[in-house]
Amino acid sequence: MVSQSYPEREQELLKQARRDPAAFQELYNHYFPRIYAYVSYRVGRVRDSEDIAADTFLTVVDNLNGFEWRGEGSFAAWLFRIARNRVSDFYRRGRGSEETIPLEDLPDLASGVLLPADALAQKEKFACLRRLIGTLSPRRQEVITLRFFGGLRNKEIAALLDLDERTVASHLCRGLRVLHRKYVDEFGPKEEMHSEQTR
Amino acid sequence: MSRRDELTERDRRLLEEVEEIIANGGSERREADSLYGLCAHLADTVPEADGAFQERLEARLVARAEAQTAPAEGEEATAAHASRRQPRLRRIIPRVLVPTTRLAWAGMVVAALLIFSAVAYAGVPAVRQLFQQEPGLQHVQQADLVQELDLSQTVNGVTFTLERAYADANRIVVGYSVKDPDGQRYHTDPLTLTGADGTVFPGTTGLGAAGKSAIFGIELPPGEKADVLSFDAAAVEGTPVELDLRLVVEVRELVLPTDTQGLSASPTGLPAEPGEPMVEELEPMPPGAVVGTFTFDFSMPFIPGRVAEVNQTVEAAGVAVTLQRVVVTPSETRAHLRFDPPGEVETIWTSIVTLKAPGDVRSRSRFYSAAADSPVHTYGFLAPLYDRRGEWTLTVNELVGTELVPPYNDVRLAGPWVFRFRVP
Repeated sequence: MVSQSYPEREQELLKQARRDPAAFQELYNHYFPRIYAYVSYRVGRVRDSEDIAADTFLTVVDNLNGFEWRGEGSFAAWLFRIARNRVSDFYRRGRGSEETIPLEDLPDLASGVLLPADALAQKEKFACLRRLIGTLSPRRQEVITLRFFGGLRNKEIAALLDLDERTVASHLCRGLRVLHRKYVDEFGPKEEMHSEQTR
Repeated sequence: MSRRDELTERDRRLLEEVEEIIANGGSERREADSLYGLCAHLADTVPEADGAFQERLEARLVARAEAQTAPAEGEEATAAHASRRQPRLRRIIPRVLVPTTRLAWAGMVVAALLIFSAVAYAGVPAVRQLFQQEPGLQHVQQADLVQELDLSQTVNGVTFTLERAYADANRIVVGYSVKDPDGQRYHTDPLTLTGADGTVFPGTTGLGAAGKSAIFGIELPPGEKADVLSFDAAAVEGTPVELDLRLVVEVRELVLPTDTQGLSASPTGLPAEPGEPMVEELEPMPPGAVVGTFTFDFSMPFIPGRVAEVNQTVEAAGVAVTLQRVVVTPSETRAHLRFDPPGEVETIWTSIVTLKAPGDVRSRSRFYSAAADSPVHTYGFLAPLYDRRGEWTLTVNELVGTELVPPYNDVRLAGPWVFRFRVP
């Protein structure tokens, strides 16, 4: 078998996916976790995240023949543009306006946590981070969620948001610093930020 | 671009750290109140979809795509694998073989038999649909590595069909269906898989369906069921081109419980006093009648694994953990870890383990774990990583134990233990 990294294979996969639905599965498996994570941070509730993620991929399947490859990152930008638009539609319909979402309606975290109490603690962290990210400017919210949860690189985010790459980097740095200040102000310096369970 | 967007040296360092933190999935230790600590926290707090939802959506997308493309190929699989041979069927005297030990696969995640209600999905056999439900099996099906067998036997009107199978160095998978034209349902237990030399392959994970399945998109008439079962192939020695296998399965009627008489208020049958526990005594379910024992002998290609004899030891929290080896096959990646149980109290241990294969944006969680022979622990990642080249990272984030003596405390030891390696 010729050994290729996923980015190198993507163009070929897209060609195959147009005539072979099974080839689409690899694209789906590569991008679904990222789309889901990004959408979850934007909308919160599991059922809304699932609806938007499903809608995004159904749109991709319906329009795959019309997609034009423009180099590495072009498919990711297209895919995330669709997801962003679905998120915008969600908010335009007046959804997502509630102050707090019950923990049981929030998604599980990809941390391999075993015990229910730990899963709940992780959901609380997710809720907290999501709330704090929501206090940033819309642009910085986008950049941070696309970088950390969508897994996009700055160059891809720039293409998606029609910005210069350096502007994206600047938004990311400043957004993280503001987020950090808010986090420390709210929780103080004693909060354990590592992924390990506190003893 | 304005001056506001100009990056300082501090910004550049932050961007580099963010790159590294995201690549490691937030598993690196950072100072608790630092900016980098926050970034690690973000990278570690990643929402994950329910696996069943992800798989349902995938099936839906494939169906939609198929509807938009040229008519699909017929249901017969093509024999693309060069060494595939016609399966053989021999009359064999049944043997009774003992399945896996009770604790051997403790802690394993099993997608057990599911029964749903919903929409039919015509045209694709149920066993093939079940292969779609798990990433590793989906990949081997897509790659046309699954051998179609279509071996049937009928005993007392019940037909057991061994439809297809797959074998690699990590697991052997069989897919079968059971049909009774009268609508009776059946157990297929015990079911044992052995090699020609009598080697027993212990069962690991499985998927099954009966009736109508909304999630899997399967509709089976009454009296039919389909299962896909995986067996641990670690006992296969060397790298044979083919495996000679024997599947023996006892089929017995499924007896459903009758309606209960209602709860007994107490063991005496008198109405319960407030605070008195409600007790219901249940009769053990009668075993169903045995229909027959079905035995299949068949041969199939064996796909060897890419094996990394890692043998790295990392110490954290006073515990030395050794990553002994990693075996990568088209259907699964399996890691074998060893650590001596810490502490004096008898405890069952497992680990929170994540794997980052070359090309992964973030780490993936293990699908199942097993402690066949403590202190060695096995972790399976049911994902198609066979083509990945480059540096792999396996991280043991935490050791988690449950004491076996009262008060059965939970014990957690934080790592991480990080292993970086290449797979030939």
